[in-house]
Amino acid sequence: MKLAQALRQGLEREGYEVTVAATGEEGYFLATTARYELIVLDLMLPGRDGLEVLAALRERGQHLPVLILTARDTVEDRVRGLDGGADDYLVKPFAFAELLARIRALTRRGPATDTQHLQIADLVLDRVKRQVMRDGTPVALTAKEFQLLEYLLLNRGQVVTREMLAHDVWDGVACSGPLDNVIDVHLARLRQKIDIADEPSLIRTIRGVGFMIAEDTP
Amino acid sequence: MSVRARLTLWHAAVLLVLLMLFAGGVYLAVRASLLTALDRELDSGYDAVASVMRISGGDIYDIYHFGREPAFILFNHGQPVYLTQGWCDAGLPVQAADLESGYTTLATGDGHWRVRFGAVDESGYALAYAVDARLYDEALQRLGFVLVLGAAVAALLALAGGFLLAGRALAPISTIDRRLRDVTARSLADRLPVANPADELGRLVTTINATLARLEGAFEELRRFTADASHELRTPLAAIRSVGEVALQDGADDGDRRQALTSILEEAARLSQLLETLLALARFDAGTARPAPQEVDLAALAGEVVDELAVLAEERRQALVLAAAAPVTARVDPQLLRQALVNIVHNAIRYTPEGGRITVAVSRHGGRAVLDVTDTGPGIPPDERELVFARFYRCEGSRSREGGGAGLGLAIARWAVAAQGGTIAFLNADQGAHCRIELASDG
Repeated sequence: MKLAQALRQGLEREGYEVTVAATGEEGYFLATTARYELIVLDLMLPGRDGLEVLAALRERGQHLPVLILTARDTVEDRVRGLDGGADDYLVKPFAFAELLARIRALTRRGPATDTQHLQIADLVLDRVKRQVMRDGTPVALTAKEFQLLEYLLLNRGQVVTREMLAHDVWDGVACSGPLDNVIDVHLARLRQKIDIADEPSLIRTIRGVGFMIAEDTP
Repeated sequence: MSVRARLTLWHAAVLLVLLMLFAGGVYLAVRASLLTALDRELDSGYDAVASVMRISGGDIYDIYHFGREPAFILFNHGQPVYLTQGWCDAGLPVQAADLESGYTTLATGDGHWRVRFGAVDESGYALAYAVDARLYDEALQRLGFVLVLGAAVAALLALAGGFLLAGRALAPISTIDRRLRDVTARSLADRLPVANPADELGRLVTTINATLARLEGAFEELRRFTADASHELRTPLAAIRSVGEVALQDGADDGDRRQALTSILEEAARLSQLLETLLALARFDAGTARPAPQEVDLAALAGEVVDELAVLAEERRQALVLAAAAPVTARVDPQLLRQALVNIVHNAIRYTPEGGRITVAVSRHGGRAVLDVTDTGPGIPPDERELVFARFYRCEGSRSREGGGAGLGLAIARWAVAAQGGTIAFLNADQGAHCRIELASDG
């Protein structure tokens, strides 16, 4: 319940309207009587099992996106959840930023992604020509640095965790320890290349959470 | 039913069957020879009377001197013409129709008689001679009695003997059982004494001792692992608690709290990562993580790993180079092998001083694909080369948290290689460390 309250607070702060159901029955009742855009379903619910609730909802023809939260992460559990009609799957413990990213993806909210140019402040990234300009000057980036910047820009204004980077930019090599260092080095180099001396970095480190590219807001 | 009872019963049953076969054989043989002896006696009596009849030419008065004792009867053309007192006393039939020719055994009121009946010559005389078979019967009866009694006594003795013998044979097993229970109840450190390593029981005890040793090793490893794991988990937890408590103290301002929350999140991330790794190892141990082998070009795979980690080496002004002359293919799980190689190369980068050189070489030796990771670092002392693969093991002086991981990288690498039938070890090197992964190669 601590988790549910924290998630509600966080989501409300992000501008979502949130109702928390404490039990499986309550959740099922709410999901069948009110209209929602998305359900975040914890599999370990008192009363009715999360997967049962999901199956019951799908049987009634409810097609709204369902994001499952679970502490079990074997392949079988994953398959069971997705077979049961879930749209996405997040294993506890997870970063709140990652939950936000998944919710954005499922509800198709957030910044549009299918544009050629991604821009922030005076930094422009051309996804077709694979060029980056800062203040009108081209910046030479390696392929990895380009990918990294692109990913950050696609999630601009949103926190990106190391897990998200490892998963989406590095194709999720399973060994987290070495990869964290690799990500840090690439980020440091990217900063060096795109930042202008004496100005605050475009890429901010949110300690303990991750990174975010955002326009400087006081 | 206990093994002892079963052994005893089987033993006795087998012996009883053998005795019965033997006794039956003896009985039949003795009966046959007794009957032969009896018939010989019968023949001599019969022949004596018959020859007198033939010599005298049918004059029955000559046979008076045979006296009353022998039992015989004489017929002429089927009519009884002479019979002795012995025949009469025996109660044998007096009509020729009641007798069968040849040898027969007839039962009368007080026993058996062996009778031979047949024509003496062509004169029309026929003689039936009888001998008392009572002695023969008695002898057979006695024999039967002795045999049955003997078999019964032998079976009883076999039961008792078998019971004792089985008890003696099984006693060491009971002893082993008792001792083993003592050993497992106290600790796994004790071993059973081996009386004779060459016999079956000695081999059993040796096997049990080996099993105990392996169990003890596994328990010890588990105990150490649990202790290390709880230590590793406790450190970030302690940080989270104290940082949280301090942030709630009076006098902490918003900036302090923000700072505290940030540290808490950092520690939580560390905890999550450690937990992930521990879970992965637990899954390896439980055997639920199955490798998915496929044809992989090891040179290409090593190239990817080198590319990926190149930035780390660059940061430390190290040269990270790939030495692969030709593709070397092997059937491996690319994910697992990649993980192993990343961990080893990362380790090499971490322990090699700035400006050093790390080489990843891919080659084939005989039928094996070989991956060599060499560096120009301080190397690993020979007595630690095996230890570094143990979980949570960190070389002396590197047990600092900024030094990197929790000491699980090489443990994971070893598992990942072993899971696909390969070997991984640190070899002797002139300079630095030399880690070699060997895998079965198919060309």
